[in-house]
Amino acid sequence: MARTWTDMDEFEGFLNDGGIVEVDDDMPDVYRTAVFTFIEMHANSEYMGGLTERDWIPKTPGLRHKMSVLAKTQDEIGHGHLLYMVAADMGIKTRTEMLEDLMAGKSRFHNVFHYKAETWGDQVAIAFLVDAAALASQQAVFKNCSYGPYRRILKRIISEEGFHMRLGEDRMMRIAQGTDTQKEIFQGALDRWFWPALQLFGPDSKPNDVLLRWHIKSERNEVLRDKWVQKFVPMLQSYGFSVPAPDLAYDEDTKKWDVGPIDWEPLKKTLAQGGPDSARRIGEAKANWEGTSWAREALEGSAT
Amino acid sequence: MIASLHLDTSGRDPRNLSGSLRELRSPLAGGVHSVRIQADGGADIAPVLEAVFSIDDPEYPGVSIVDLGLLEHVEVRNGIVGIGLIPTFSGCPALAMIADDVEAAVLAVDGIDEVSVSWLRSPAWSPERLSVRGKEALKIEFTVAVQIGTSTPECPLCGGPTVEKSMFGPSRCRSVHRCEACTETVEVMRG
Repeated sequence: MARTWTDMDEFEGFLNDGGIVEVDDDMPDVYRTAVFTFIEMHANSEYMGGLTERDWIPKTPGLRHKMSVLAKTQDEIGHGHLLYMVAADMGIKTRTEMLEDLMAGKSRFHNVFHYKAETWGDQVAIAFLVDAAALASQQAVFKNCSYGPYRRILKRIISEEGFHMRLGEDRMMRIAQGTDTQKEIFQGALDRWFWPALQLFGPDSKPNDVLLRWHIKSERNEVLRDKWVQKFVPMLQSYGFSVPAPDLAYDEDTKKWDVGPIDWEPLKKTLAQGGPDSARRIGEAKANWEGTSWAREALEGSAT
Repeated sequence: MIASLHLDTSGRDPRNLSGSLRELRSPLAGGVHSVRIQADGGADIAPVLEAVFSIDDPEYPGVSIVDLGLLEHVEVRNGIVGIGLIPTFSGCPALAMIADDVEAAVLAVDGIDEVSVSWLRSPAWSPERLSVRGKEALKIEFTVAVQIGTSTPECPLCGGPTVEKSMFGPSRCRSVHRCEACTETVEVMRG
């Protein structure tokens, strides 16, 4: 059943015709590596996101929000689990190797999980702005994704992230209609999270980006980023909050918002595990991983 | 198996009842539960039922909550509607959202002045309550299998047998399996 292709041209022709690659196909190594690295980063991000969400379970105000935080934690860890399984099936690294690389700071996860959430307002800003950015990126991958196992899991992840978006909107509406103190807390969070959320999309796509060429991504980073800006800048302003971009401008001709020049240094730092909260996050994940080794050993023992 | 409908029309048949019954059979077909419908004479329950059917599970867009077996009873009296739903599990974070969605949809029906949606503590939800249509949508649209009792769920892709890798998927109502035939990672809806 496994398919083979004689050369890269034939393989790319297959992808351009809308072909879907399955796990047992004899795909070119460069494709296998590129897809694996992409899924590994997604899995790492779900896992680190789940741990972040977990930090807030005891601190979340009110039962309604607490239930949503509990569920999001399980969702993110569950997504990470599914993605690690799909990534491991590609035969490059085992799940344990991927987790060990993550704990050793050798592999990447999204920039937003390298920052600290200071207040509940930060959690609201994350659920509202960051989840929307992550969802937009994932939707653009799902739209045209050439790797079958990833595509099928993305469909479910996107549906669940859409649900998180609604929870984020619910949280935002509540804090936006709250007391002056609540509004101040949210504005402070926005000031911290606007730029990291925007940078989740990454710098402009390179002309030769293989992820676009091989139909993993379907849209250029700058296009997705711009859509997010056009949606969230006016929405935040309509709720009475200010957007922390000193050069923010509205172009009457194009009817578009421009956030001005973007400083990509913070993103570069996070990709090298040097973000403001990277060391603590990775350290806690590592302590958590080591502290639960007894459970994995017990499970492995009982599985034989 | 067709789930049964219990009707208490308190006298005369409500208008459009036969049309509503036809519509209600589809999302209940294959499920094992019954939905209790009570309506006073002259009440037009079809639009009310349609409004409830129109609400999708927030995590499965396109799959109605009725196809998932969440609807337990509907009562329509003098423009006041009471709807009883059951959760797939009691800590489900989507409960408030689903109830808000149902309430808004039913309130939009002509002649309905008041709606109360309640989450019932019994009976407990189980995957047997899914309709044939619900199971098909989960299988085809979301590659999600359904486990009835302790049976072996079939792989939604190839129909092969799956083995459980973890009791816990992204939600309490789902586990993670792997297909022994095609190796697909499969989420399974479970009780």
